[in-house]
Amino acid sequence: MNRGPSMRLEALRSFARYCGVLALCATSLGCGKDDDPSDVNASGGASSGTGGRGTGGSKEPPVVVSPSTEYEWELPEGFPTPWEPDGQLTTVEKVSLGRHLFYDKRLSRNDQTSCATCHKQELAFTDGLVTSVGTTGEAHPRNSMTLANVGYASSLTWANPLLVELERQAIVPMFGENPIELGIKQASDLEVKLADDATYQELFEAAYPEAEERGTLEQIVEGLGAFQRTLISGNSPYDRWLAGDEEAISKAAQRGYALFNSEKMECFHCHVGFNLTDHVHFAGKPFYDAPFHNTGLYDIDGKGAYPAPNTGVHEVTVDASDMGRFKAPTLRNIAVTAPYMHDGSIATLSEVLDHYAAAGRTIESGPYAGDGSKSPLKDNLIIGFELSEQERADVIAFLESLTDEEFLTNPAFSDPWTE
Amino acid sequence: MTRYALITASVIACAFSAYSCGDDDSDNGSPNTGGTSGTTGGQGNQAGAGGEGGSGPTTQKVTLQFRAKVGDEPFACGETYAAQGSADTEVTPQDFRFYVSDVRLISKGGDEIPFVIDTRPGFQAQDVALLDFEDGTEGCKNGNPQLNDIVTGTVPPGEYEGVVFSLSVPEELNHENPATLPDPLQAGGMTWGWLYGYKFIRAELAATTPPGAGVFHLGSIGCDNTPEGQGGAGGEGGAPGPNNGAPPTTTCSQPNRTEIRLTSFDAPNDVIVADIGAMMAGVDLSTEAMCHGMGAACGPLMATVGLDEMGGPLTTQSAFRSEAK
Repeated sequence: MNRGPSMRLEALRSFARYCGVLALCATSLGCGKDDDPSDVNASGGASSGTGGRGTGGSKEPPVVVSPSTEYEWELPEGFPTPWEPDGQLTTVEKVSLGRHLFYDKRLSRNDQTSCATCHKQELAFTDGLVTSVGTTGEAHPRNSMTLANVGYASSLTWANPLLVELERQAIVPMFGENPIELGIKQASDLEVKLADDATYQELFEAAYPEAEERGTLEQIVEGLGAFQRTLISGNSPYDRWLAGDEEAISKAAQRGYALFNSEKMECFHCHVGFNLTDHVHFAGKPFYDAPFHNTGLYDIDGKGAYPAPNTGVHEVTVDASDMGRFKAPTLRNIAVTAPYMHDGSIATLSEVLDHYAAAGRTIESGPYAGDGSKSPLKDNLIIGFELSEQERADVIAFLESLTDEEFLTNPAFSDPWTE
Repeated sequence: MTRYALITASVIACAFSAYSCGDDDSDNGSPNTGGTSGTTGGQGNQAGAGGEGGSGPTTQKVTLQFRAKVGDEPFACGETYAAQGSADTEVTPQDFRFYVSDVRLISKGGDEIPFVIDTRPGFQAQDVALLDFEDGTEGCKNGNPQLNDIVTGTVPPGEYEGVVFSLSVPEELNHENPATLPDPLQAGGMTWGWLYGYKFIRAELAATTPPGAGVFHLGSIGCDNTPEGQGGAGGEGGAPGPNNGAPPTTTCSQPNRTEIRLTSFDAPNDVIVADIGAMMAGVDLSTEAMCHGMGAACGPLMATVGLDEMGGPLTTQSAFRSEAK
């Protein structure tokens, strides 16, 4: 039973592809990658030939109601179609609207921050801080999460089973006050601020050609949801290797992949499938689930307690058995999203491996002192392991192979206001 | 401060004997349980000003007038109030808003007659009203200029002598997307985004010498959408996946909906006093006395609106009282 990593490698790769195929069955196929899906002008010229109807005598340009253009998903191999909440068909125009909003500092109370302040593309839409800072300078208790593949998340943020739709989640950073993130006081404040902007008038008209009212909060959060749903990362060296390019990742990374998927490390139970997490949902998935796990990061009272306010799902459900349960985030682009964990309390990937190798973190002193490995609430797959220096380097090489440079630089995801 | 809380401790024990105590001088506001007499002082029996007019109106308009106070002083952003809370701290307001729904007037016969809340843009929609006493100035910087101290609605013609209302957003609205609802339910300071609902009550006083504050945010907590069969408390009926229907349904283990009952209240002549000083009487305002659904301060704060810290009903409340206009 001493099969080395290399012996299992091919079987694992087959398994990963198999998972991908399974998922792909549920998808409508994407198309080519050469068009910019968030081109602002996508709707503008659609039916220009019909101009002039019913506006005789006006010096205004002819009114052309262009139908919205259904967004065509450019799905990496093995990726299913993201799920869209009822009524939220993703359109090119909504995506463009959302992209402008995402990068607009007017979305904050004091025009100082936008979504992109804490979600920077070059960091896979994280901010590099231990914990984020809101627009009024208030410290956030949690580490900014990557938005890569966020449209596939069963639930959003680190540990909130209630936040299932991106359109609902957007309300939290926009209006939340404990802590203040963007700090908008009320919907009308934002609606009024954007109402006279000519760019937004075009964007809302394109996205909502039939709407009686344009520029509403409902449309704003729909745009933000649509844009975020397009933030798909699936073209890392690892993906190219899975697809058959033997040279795409190093031998070290290949060994690391095998270790990652071994019963010795058990990483793959939670970091599984096309998005390297068990917390996924997608179109056509036959059931909905949203697992959370306590990894023994803390145990400050000998009973498994995490330091408030970051008590995980417990913070929402007030159920003692939910203490310390957090979402397993995707590992895609993990090398550029340091520091790690919900509270940014681990600085490097090597130290993350220390935490899991020890089957839970021990904090020797201070208010959070305790031995997480002894937590009674810890997930029973956090069993600990020993890694040689070579193996450690191999696993890290694998994790680094998940960095998707195309995603980090894709102009479709960049700040449209600087174009 | 505590004095007021004690004096005004309103007793709900007479929940089913909707008789008032025969004492219409409600300066201290509250009926006590003693009254079993069938008679009342009888002032202003005709609830509501100005009926529909014409012959045989089927409803009459009623305006419920609220008034925010700190003890017996008027509540106003920017004012300071001496000796508040359990440590006699000088404070200034940060916020004071709450929702009212499921309003009923108590008839002379003791029946609870539904009061239909009008639609009034900004403050009343879908049978919910927002009372808003902060004007966005001074310490109330998280607020807005809009103010509202009335609830307008209709009841069948009749004689009424008391009022009952829920301090909450009804469950069927509480988990809706606020971006799709009209004010006062549109997203804003009363939205509790991360808890997937609304703050029913938002009451905040800050010590004039920082740090120190009383922050009372009450709403439904312990909410979950994990089906019971999967270890959670929510998601009745198996919870179809988001793409196969609605997202999992959400249920809350601690709804925190409390009912305020003022058995001696006559709409044309009385006001409903919401006393934020009484609400904060049991907490030390020289410290950070926080209740965001959970927290050490929740017990004494929730008690003032008739809830124990686990959300169970108490027989008394001290934050609301009836006073003569």
